[in-house]
This record gives sequence, structure tokens and C-alpha cells, in this order.
Amino acid sequence: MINYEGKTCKELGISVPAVQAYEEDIRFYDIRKVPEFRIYGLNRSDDDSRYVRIPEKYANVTNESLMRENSRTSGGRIRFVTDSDYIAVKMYGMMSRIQPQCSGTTASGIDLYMKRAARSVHVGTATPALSHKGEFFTLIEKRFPKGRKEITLNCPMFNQFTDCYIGLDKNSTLETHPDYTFEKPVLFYGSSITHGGNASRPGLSYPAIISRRYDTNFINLGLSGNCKAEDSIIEYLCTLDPSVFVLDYDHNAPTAEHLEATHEKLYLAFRAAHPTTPVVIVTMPNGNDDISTNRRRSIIFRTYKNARERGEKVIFVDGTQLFGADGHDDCTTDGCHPNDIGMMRMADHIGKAVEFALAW
Amino acid sequence: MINYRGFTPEELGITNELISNKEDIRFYDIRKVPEFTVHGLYDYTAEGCFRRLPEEVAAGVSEAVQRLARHTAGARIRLRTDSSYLAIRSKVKSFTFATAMSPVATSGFDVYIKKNGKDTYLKNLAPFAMPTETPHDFGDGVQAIISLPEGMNEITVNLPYHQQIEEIYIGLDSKSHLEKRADYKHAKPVLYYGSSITQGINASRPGMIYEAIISRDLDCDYLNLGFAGACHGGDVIADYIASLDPSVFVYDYDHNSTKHEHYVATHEALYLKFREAHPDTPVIFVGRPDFWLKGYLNAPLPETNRDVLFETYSKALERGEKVYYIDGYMLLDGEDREECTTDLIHPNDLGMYKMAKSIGRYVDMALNG
Repeated sequence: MINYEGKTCKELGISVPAVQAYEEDIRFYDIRKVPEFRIYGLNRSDDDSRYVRIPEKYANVTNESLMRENSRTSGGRIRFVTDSDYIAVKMYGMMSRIQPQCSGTTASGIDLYMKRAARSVHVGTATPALSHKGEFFTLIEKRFPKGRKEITLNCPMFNQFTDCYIGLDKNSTLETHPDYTFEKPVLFYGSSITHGGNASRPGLSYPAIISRRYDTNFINLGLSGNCKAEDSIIEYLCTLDPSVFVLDYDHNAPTAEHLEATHEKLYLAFRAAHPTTPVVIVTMPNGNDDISTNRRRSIIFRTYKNARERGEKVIFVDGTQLFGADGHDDCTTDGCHPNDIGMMRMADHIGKAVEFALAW
Repeated sequence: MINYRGFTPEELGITNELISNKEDIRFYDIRKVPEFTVHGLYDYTAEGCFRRLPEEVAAGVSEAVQRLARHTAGARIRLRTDSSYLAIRSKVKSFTFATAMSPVATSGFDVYIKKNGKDTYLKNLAPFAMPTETPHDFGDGVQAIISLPEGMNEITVNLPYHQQIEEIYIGLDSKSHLEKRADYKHAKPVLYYGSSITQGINASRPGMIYEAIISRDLDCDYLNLGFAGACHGGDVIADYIASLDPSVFVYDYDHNSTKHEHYVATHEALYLKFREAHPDTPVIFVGRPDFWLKGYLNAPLPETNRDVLFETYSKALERGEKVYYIDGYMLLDGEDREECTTDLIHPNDLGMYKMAKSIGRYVDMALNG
């Protein structure tokens, strides 16, 4: 029995045939009002109108496209435990998005993972129709096994939302999801690749894969095309207290000069705030062995080497090795952005470094 | 110097300035220039939509197959050129939109070039317009260009797997050379018959469908007869398949058969018909890959189909025929098996890759064993 006032289908204006069989018992609960829903990886915007990743106080000072990417909810998760046989979701304030390389599911899909036998397993994905008008309702899964289920919903990677209701059987239980084994988040700061482009769905961005593999919380600050290590962003990164910091913004530094001017600066600022937090330093994946890539790698390697010499906790991951030799060209959709194979291989390599760092 | 009549960008209504800025660019109709070798299509020189089946066969099977046979899944254009760029102009009936497939997947052309002895991904040529908000106007087809590495390049262009295309032109430097590309090492095609998964749904781009990965790994031609939701066996398609002469037949028919009795009635019948026509051609039986769901959801899966499939196989084996069997349980094997789909049914690239590696091993054995 869920002890909160839920909204009925009628109150939310839901009248699709798929939900008719459940109409009597299904109630929708506002994720912001019911504390059993734990929200990870997201903040509320200053005007309380939508979810953002970086608080606007820090993100606002930069630019419009950063603001836009900041509203996209990659890495956002809603976790709870229930014995309801079905789960529905109603979201508000989404955008209609379609891009050549980006399917509706890549942009706006919601992934449902269920924990069974210590593993978090993909059991459903919902994607708004291309013609949706900002509102989106879906009965994600109605074939659940009986009993208690630990649920994680992965929020859309390249879309935003203002509000979200979760529909459950009102006669079922709703509990708080247990902590992650590593409740302190791993922090990822990176490019469109870190953001999740072009995984087929939000559960397959490489930070999300690493999170499931090691049962660790995470914060995804991959802001497609907009991770340029601005001062205000550096300031924000320093205020966070992650278990591990994965520094992966090589791709978004517009030039090698820009990288040189910001990379070690960012690292040193973070290090001053967190003297003992392990930092995993990654160079761009799939970088061609041309002069520019080599120069960038040298700049990043220098940050690492200097830190090593000072005896600090750093790990260097060479991006050119991430995809491996076998099937290297099968790892991207466009020669740059990893598909699911590429994401999995990135998670394999960077995940090993994160695993080591978590125990360091 | 290419000695065929080429169209100027203007004649083909091209508005992409990256293309029209090239002074010597000319577009050649793939139907008219024999230096382009076209694979995986039925009578590609015929007017109208490109198709994978003869119209009367497709119409005889079902309305759905008639429509889906016009999707150019598994089709390729191969050529050899020293042009410094390659452009594509296609004209489509209308663009298909699907939530789990990007425009690159449904409508893009994947360009591969031979590098170190193997076809290697260069780039996808997708619809030119890039709207990020509605309305989704992608124009009347693709008009896109990429530069090629210096020198002679051996090129494969993979056609979209979920799109009806009426015309395709390839744009090259008219002062360059255009030659026929050498045929595949295994020039006789491998034939695949199956469901939406076989057709390619939901690979991220046409070069990532499992048949294409196998083709690059083994250097073999292939014919993709995967029809989303419409692969139900039956006499018409069985007769047609028996009339073809493949090197290997990958019989991937399980998923679309929702009625068990229907599956019993059609699975072995199609095999026997094919076997009668081709006593020595290896046949690989493949089961549906999504059995893992059973452990996690109350998903009733037609387990009995698996028995039917296995029975067709074991009877053939007893008769001493050349057959292989791949259990659906094995297709997405490994630690990440639950991550291999976009929607619990259709493989993403990870799933396609795993399928290609599991099925490819058997195709390799059948081709070379």
C-alpha cells in the first residue's frame, strides 16, 4: 500500500488503450514529492522549471549552447524499490528531437534496469513518439516477475524534462532503493562522447555501464561540444566531492593551445580542493595518429606526469587504445562517436582504471 | 577520364554547396554504368524502386513483403576509383522515421574502403538537412559528399536497410578513373532468410547489420532476405529461395512465427524444398536470440519453436546432409548479453556484432570446410 496521494489516469489526462486494464489501481506519483524516489545526477534549475546537471550559478556565466546541453538529462537516474507488477512513466516538458545520427531512443529514450541476483539488468526501454507534444506517457513494462524489485530508470540523454510522474499499482509497496556500494559518485567531465553520443540508449553511455559494473553512483558532466574547462565550471567541479574524477574533455578543447591553457589548470584546481581523490586522465578515443592528436596527448600526459612526480593519485588512459585493434572501425557511427560496441570497449578500459581508483 | 554521360549537380537538383562547388563533379547513374557492381538486389537495372525480390514473388508472399522487399537492406555498390571524393545523390519515395532508428540507420549510405586487405569504415553519407526540431524535413533524398584517401580506392557503399529508393547516382571527379572492383573472394552469395533482425533493425548504420560484418570478415557476397515482421515461410518464398543458388543458406526463420502450428507446417517444408534443389549446399539453422528474457520477465517465449528447429536440423543430420545448428541462446552470449538490444528484441550494434561473430564462425566453416 503506497501511502501517498497519487494521481489517477484521468487527472493526468491519460487515456491510451494500453493502460485501461490497470486504470483502477494505477496511481501516478510525483518524483519530487515522494522521498522514496531517489534522484541521482540531476539538480533543479534556479527557477524550478526543469532539471539541469550543473547548477545555473556556475553554468549560466558561459553560453547558450552550454545551457542547452546542461538541461539534457544524461546520467540522471530515478531509483526505487517496488513490488508493483508494472511501471508507467509520464513526463512533461520534453523537446521533439531528431538528428541524423541520433535515433529517438538515443535522444529521448528512458531505460529501465532491474536488479536481480546482484546484477542490474536491462528490462525495458521507452521512447516518445516523434510526434509527441512535449508530454510523454508510457507503460514501460507490465511483464514483471512477482515480488520486490530494485528499479533504476535512466533519464533521456539528449532531451530535457520538467516533471516526471511514476505510475505504480497503488496496492503495491514503494521503498527507498538501497545505496550503491559506492554511494560517493564517480565524476565524469568530458565531451559529447561522455555525454552518451552515440549509444543506442541511455543505459549504454560508458559512464552508465561503469556505474552498473562496479555498483557506483556517478555524475555525468559530458556536455556535448561544450566542455571547455571554463573558470566557472572548474570552480563547480572543485565544489563536488567525488570518489574518483574522470577527466575526459580532450575532444571539446577547440585547439591544442586551449587544452594546454586549461588542462593542468583544471587538474591543479581540483587537486588543491581534493588532495587525495584519484583522478583518471583520459585522452580522446579513436584519435588518429596525426600531429595534432599527438600534441594533445603530450599536453595531457604532462599533466599526468607532473602529478605522478609529486606523488599524487593519478591514472593515465590513452584514448587511442580504447577501441582496440580488432574491429576498430566497427566502434563508431561516424568515425568519432562510439556506437554501443565502442561504448562497451571504453567502459572496459576506463572501468578498469575506475575500479582500481575506487580501491586506492 | 570517365567516358560516360554524367549529370551535373544542377541537373539532379542538388542544393548542397559542398557538392556544387566542385567544378568537375559528375553524377553517374548506377543503373547505367557497368563499372558499378551492384550486389544484394534483384534486377537493379529495372525502373522504379530498387528491390530485393521479383515483384510477383513479393506480391505473392504478402503485402508486407511486397513493401519490405523494396527496402534496400544488404544491398551494396562496389567500385574502384582514384577520384579524390565520392558523392551520393539518392531519390527516395519518402523518408522513414522510426523511434529506435536514426536517419543514418534508415536512410544513410555507409562508405567502406579497402585498407590492409579488409573493407574498413570511412563514413556515413546521410540526409543533407539536419533539422533538430520539427518538422523533420529531409528533402527528397541524400545529397552528400566525402573526400577519399589519395590514390586508387576499392570502395563498397552499403545501402540503407530501411528505405525505399528510386534512384541512386554516384558523384565522382569526371577526370578520374572509374573501374570495376574485383569480385568478392566468395563471389557466390551467402543467403540469409529471416526477420527484422536479419533485415538489420536496429543497427546504428547499414554497415553494422550482422550480414555486412560477416561479409567484411570473410570477404563474401550475400543476399539479405530479412523482412521485418513478415517472415512466415510458405510455398511462394520457399519456391523462390529454392530457385536461388547461394554458397551457404543461413536459415534464420524463427522470430516472426507467432503461431506454433504454422511454424511446424512451414519450417521443415522450406528446408526440404531448398535441399531438393541443392543437395550439397550447406545450411545453417539459427534460432531467435532473446531467450535470456525468460530469467527476468514473465515473457512467454515459444520455446517449442526451438524444438521444431532442432528437429528439422537433426533429421537432416541423420540423412547425412550438410547442416549446422546455432542455438538462439548462444547468439548474444557473454557477460553483456542483456545489453545487446535496444528494446529487448532488436539488437543494437553490440548485439549485431555478437551475432556476426557467432554466425560468422559457422559461415566460415561452411564456406571453407
